[in-house]
Amino acid sequence: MKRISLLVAAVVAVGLLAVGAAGALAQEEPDDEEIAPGEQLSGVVGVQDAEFEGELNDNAFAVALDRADDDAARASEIAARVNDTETRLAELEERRDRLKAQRENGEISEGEYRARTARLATEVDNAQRQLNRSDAAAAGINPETLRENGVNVDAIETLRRNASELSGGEVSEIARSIAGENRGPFRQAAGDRAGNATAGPDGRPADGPETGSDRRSDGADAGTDDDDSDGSEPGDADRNGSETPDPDSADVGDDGTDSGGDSGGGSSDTDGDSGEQSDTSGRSSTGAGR
Amino acid sequence: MIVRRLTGILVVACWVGVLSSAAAMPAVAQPDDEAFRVDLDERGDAEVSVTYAYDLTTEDEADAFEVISNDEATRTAFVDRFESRMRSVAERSENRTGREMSVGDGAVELERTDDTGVVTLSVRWEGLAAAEGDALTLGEPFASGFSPDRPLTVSAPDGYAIAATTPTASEDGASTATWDAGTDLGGFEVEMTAEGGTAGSDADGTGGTPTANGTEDTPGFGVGVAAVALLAAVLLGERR
Repeated sequence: MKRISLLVAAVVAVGLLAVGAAGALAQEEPDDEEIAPGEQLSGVVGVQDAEFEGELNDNAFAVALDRADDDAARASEIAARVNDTETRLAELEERRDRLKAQRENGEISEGEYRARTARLATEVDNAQRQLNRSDAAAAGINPETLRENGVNVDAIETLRRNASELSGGEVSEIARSIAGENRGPFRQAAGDRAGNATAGPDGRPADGPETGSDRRSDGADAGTDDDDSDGSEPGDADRNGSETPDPDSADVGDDGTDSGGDSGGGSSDTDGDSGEQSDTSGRSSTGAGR
Repeated sequence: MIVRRLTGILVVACWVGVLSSAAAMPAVAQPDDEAFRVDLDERGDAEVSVTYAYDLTTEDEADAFEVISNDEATRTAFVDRFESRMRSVAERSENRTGREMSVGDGAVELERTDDTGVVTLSVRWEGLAAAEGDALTLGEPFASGFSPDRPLTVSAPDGYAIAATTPTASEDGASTATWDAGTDLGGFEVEMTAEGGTAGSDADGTGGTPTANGTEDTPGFGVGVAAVALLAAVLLGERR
């Protein structure tokens, strides 16, 4: 009888120890604990910056497409954006490698690494979204016009894959640990605007031609107006019978890759933006380049 | 018709040119615009704001900024995220200091000046600084790895003066102190005293009285002891 009770006690004791050990492991797992408040704050400041930048670029792209007089002009705009995004992605990849090296060398702490990676992840999201928008906008344009104006649709797809790899795994996990689940574009509207601008069923911009004099306010209004119409069917308008995915489905794909629902990736560079984005990232790299 | 198309092409050509040159331009710093500000009141609560500056060098960018400025939903989403993230930082700071904190009243202001879009996000952060008698001390979250990518300015409440700063501020005033972007803020602490008050040097309790976290280092301890005790008890019983 005593033996049985000893055996039972031993089993219970071992079980308790195992539970204790598992508990200890579980407590170590959340890497979030490694992030100090100040490090997280740095990350938050950077992510907010990059998100607004992405939003600005999304909208600037929409305005540019809206403003373009014909498909050739739109194609030129798309080509320039894709080129800028390609450059941007190369920079981001370099920055990611540098950050990893700095962490491994002990030049930066784990928390610092996370703070900077969170911003980087947001910028990759921006680039991804920009590619999605470009792809969607290209879908409404005749392939020959695209070619003549330097748009390589296959290249867009390749870049999207690269961006997806760049933001995969640890990178988006880290972004989530710093900035939470809710990241990416503030609303789909900007992308929808970009899509619609490309596109009446006839391939004309939904808003119709604009006159130069009132473009500025039109641009703003157009955005708002499009919003409404977009609300119902964001991307289909731009099709022209092409099989290219609409902006939403593109986004969904990316989201799936990255991080649940948040991302959709960001637009990134409008040409103009690209300049601007480079600037801003220049700023942030300066800041981050501690 | 032809004229119109030609005009369109010219416009696009010029535009592409502008964009290319914009892309090639070096980063333009906006030191006067970008800032991180902490404006404290006598209870240790603060208005915390971050100001960002964006170059609006093309008409598209300027229009895009206007679109966002007029888009209530976007602005709300932007603020909500900021507030929620700052709340998360406050929770971590609370764990470190043991001082109760809360974050709310998020707001955003967008303003365009010439070719710069200035965006200021702000929250009200209660319990940010420790208040003891007529002294205030600010430490977390700036003391733990915050790396400012823009100048950080701390303003003491009305009627208070800054008594000491660690590290030494880049710019010092009677009631404000500013650290340049890139300053290593390790050991950050700002002591403020009510003018005419006597406090000053003992701001310590603030900066970071460690809290419960220390006990979390031994999560399995209680269970382990229970298991060993149980075994010992049974073994003792066996011997008897």
